[in-house]
Amino acid sequence: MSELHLNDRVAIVTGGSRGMGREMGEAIIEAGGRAALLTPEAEELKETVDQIAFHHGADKVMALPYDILDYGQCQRAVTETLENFGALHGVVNNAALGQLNVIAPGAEDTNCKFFEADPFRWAQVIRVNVVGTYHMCRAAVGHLKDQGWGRLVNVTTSIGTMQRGGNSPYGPSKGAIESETLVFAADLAGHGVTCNSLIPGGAARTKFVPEAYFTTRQLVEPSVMRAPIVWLFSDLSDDLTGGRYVANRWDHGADDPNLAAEAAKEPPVFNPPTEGRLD
Amino acid sequence: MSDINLDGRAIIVTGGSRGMGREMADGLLAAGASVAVLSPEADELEATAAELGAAHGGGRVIALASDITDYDGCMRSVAETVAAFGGLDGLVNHAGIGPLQVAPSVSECEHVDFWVADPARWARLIEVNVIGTYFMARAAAPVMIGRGWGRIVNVTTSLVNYGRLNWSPYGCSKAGIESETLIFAQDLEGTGVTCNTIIPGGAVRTAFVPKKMHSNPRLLDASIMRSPMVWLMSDLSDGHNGQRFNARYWDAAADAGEAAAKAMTVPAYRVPPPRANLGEGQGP
Repeated sequence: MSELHLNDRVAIVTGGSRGMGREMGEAIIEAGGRAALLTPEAEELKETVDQIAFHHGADKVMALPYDILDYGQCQRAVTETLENFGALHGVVNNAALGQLNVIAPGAEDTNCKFFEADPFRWAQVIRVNVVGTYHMCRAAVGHLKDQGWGRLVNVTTSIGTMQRGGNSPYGPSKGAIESETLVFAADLAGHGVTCNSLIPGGAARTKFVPEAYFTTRQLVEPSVMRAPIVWLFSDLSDDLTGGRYVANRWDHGADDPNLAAEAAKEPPVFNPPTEGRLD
Repeated sequence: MSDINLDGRAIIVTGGSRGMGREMADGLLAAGASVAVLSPEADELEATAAELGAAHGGGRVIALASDITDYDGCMRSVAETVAAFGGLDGLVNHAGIGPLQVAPSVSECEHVDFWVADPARWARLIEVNVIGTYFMARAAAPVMIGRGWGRIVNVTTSLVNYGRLNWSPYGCSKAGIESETLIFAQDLEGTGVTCNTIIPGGAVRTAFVPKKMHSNPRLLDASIMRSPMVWLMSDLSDGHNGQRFNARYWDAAADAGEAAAKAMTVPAYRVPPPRANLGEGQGP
């Protein structure tokens, strides 16, 4: 992917202080772009931004210590990014709450029966993931439409997570975001702004899973997100919208990144209705 | 469907004061069930409960003036139903905000681009539809599990609406509920309680659709929900779990099993690939 140059393009990466978000922020910077990292966890954010600034320059990265649940804070994040970088080209909606928010501390896996969950914690996962993703898209899209170029990338999850027992509320929240990707892509047709889903392709080695998984399970490295996110923020993905890309299927040896993208693409998560029926 | 008898069964119907909810409540009452109609719109709810009570016998209808986004209210509603009818056998998760309710002005009743929608109203729809549906299921499930039999039926929409121009957040909310159905169904495996989805199969002549369109003969009548809901709440649907039914294709002339087979749809989500690959599908 080294041939791709992002020409100072600016991405807001939510949940950017660690894990996959940090990987994607760094990848965008290393490809010649700039990143505004957003998370309400201000301390960790400052640390991450300081480290990235040390390696890549203070003009390449900025901190947005905001909460995506608050639409006003999302608007402020967009305004500050534009003030600081003078540009904004897209949002990577990576921030999310996961099953760790609803399972008991120290639980062996992330399964949670819906009728045993704490209802208030369950609800908060839906709010942050579903509404938070929308808030950031809504806050950024005006500028992106005006400049006639932009990217909205929603990080979701494997299709099995949306339908296997024990996976609520995370699975339903990501199923709803898959629908957001498709509807937002349709709404944005003709505006030069695309909206796609990107998934790691399995549980990733991040703070999103119980620490025990690090030794007991095969995990996907968060760095798998790097090549696809750079491609998504490049001109090569112009007009490709409403897609769903699986990062760990990305062929780094491919001569043409678009062929790698095509091979990593999955159909929409929703079944089409049976032919001739209105299901 | 007149042969299905729901005598002694107690069922909560959310959004029961009008439209499809009222039709389902009426259909369940006609089959012999006791019904608690739930809605935060207290005046309309009282009027509906009084009319249903007059038609079917007041002892079999109660009104639950409650908002499904208030979890304590959901708990109270379940407790009131159990107190009134001696138990709880079914929940029809029908209440929801419709697709035309997110425009910036309440008077503009239309589908809008997501950047035109009012963010507070957009978020509120998710709160009611996705979280409200869960709150009612969460409050009702333990009672039904304790009794070893029960039904949760979530009302959603046609698959095309999950990726349709200007259909956020309604389509997105229902896509979330489809995932809830599939996951809740497996969480409930072995308890005697099932969770299924029902859709009308098209736009219905209710308050979800602008009044000026109601004369359109292509609109479905809300009454199409009655027969499939009676079947879903009966013993005849034992063993059906995590499935999706389209009321449009319910054949009233056929026997219930045959009608259900015809009405059954593809699952909302594609079948996942095998789990053998590296980490594939092992979420989160």
